Amino acid sequence: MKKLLIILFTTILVTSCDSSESVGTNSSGIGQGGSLARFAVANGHLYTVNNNEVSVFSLANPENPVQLSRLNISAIGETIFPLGDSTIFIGTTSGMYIYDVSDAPAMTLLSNYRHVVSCDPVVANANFAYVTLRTESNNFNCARGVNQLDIINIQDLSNPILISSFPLIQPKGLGLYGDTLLICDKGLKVFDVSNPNSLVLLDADEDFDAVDIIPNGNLMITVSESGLKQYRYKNGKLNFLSAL
Amino acid sequence: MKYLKIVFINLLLFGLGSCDYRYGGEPYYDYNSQYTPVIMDRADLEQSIRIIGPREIKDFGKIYIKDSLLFINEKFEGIHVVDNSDPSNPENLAFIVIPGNIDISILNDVIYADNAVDLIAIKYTGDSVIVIDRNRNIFPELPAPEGQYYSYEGSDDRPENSVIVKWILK
Repeated sequence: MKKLLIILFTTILVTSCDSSESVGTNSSGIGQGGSLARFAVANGHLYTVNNNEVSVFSLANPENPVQLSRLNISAIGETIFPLGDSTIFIGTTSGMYIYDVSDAPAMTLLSNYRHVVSCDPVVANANFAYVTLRTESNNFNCARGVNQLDIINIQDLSNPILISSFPLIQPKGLGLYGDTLLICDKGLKVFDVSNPNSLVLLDADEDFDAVDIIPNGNLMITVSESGLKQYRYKNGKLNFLSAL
Repeated sequence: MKYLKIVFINLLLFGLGSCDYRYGGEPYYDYNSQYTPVIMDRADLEQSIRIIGPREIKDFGKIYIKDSLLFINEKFEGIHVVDNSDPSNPENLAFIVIPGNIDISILNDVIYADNAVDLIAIKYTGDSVIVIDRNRNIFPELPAPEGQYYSYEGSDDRPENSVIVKWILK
């Protein structure tokens, strides 16, 4: 019984490590963008989202990107998040669009998770998508008075199901590191999301107005209007490394 | 009470306007933006990509990491290149001037960036930057910071072959 538990525990541990690596992209030669990125490279193609248009470029010759297609979405696209080489998530002001891009340049719409009009970056692993909804009083595209995190079950990409919502102050970028979700929300906040029905605050640095974050292993790279700030994340704590 | 009515009507109008835009229509409300567009001649735009020494990092936009380098966008101006091989002591290396830039992505040693309405592919070698490809008029013109309602298209005083590279407060 004990052995079984250990195996189970190890499996869970390994699984969560895997999911942390899927933040950004995992193919070689590709870098990693923040959650507010509107460009992403996946499956040998460059995807760009701008306004209500998604463009696909072939990178068969990386030095000569060739535009293959344009796709109109009936919403204002703001962010793009690739998950592996076959799925991209597009955060728009009215919802999260999930596309299968395994047959690039074809983009097959798998589903559209709708939410109130707001600004909304998204990050995801194989099981859950994390979407923050933000209101910006000076931007007509996303001024509906909602500031929250939605956790959505995406095990069936064709049928995303809202699991839970949590109020936030004014969330911007976010990043996923295993079962740890880091949200730029009037500072950098670190949450345990191992249980999708609860959001447990582990640590926070509220000394700056973080805008976006890239988790690179346990190195947390954040930017705010005033500069770059980096932390080493260990045992639920952010350890400050540098500011530039 | 009258005041409330006006507020209500305004809210209604505001709501309708926003909904409409969601379906991709042309902006039809002529709101007065707080910002004014900065335009650049297309020929100048295409000659504008260059590398200059490191400069103070401000107006942070997007961030991108590739190996030990960080690429940090300065809104509408270009990209700061930072050596992050020691995250405790990051070093600001250079600034790549790219007017109208917001986003980048990288494959191998090729950086894809928006240069206002164009998509460019560039190579950064440490002391130089080379534009190896340019796809013209890929992206919509930069909207004013308040959102998509403010458009410079159709303006009478617009010079030919000009591109909006940023918006500044009036």
